[in-house]
Amino acid sequence: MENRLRVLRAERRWSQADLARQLEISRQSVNAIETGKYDPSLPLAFKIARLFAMKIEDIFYDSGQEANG
Amino acid sequence: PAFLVTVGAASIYYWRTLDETAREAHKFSWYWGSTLGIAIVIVLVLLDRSGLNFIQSLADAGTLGENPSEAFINGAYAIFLLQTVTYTGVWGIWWLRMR
Repeated sequence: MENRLRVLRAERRWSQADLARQLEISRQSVNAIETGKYDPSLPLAFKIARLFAMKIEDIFYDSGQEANG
Repeated sequence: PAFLVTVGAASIYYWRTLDETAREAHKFSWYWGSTLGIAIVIVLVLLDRSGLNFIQSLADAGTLGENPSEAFINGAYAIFLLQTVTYTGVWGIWWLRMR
């Protein structure tokens, strides 16, 4: 599973710590998700989508597919 | 008993402070790490039973304990210690792979 989390974070000029604070997770968790080494649970994925005001599938996508939008 | 209750309560509190990634690390590490620890013990027992008999040698030397009861308890401690060591190793590897 891949994601656009790093791009979306950079567009808002947030650090990983900033994003972690807003999602109420650790900075290490943010890094693990951004690098694709950890796939978030569905509740956390929804939380991320709500934070960026986007659909989940616009942020996360299968390897080999591009995210929508 | 008071110590165990305190440790138990502290563990529950600690677990609730963890985010899902950290919880997943502990679950993965405890499953695979402690399974590895138990597997090592089983291999050692099988090796001993295959004819090496090193456990009896340790018992004869008094290393395992003064009596069978003490030896049993020390054996249980040894298994727990080994599981903790292998769990810690897997936990460390899990987080290193997440970087």
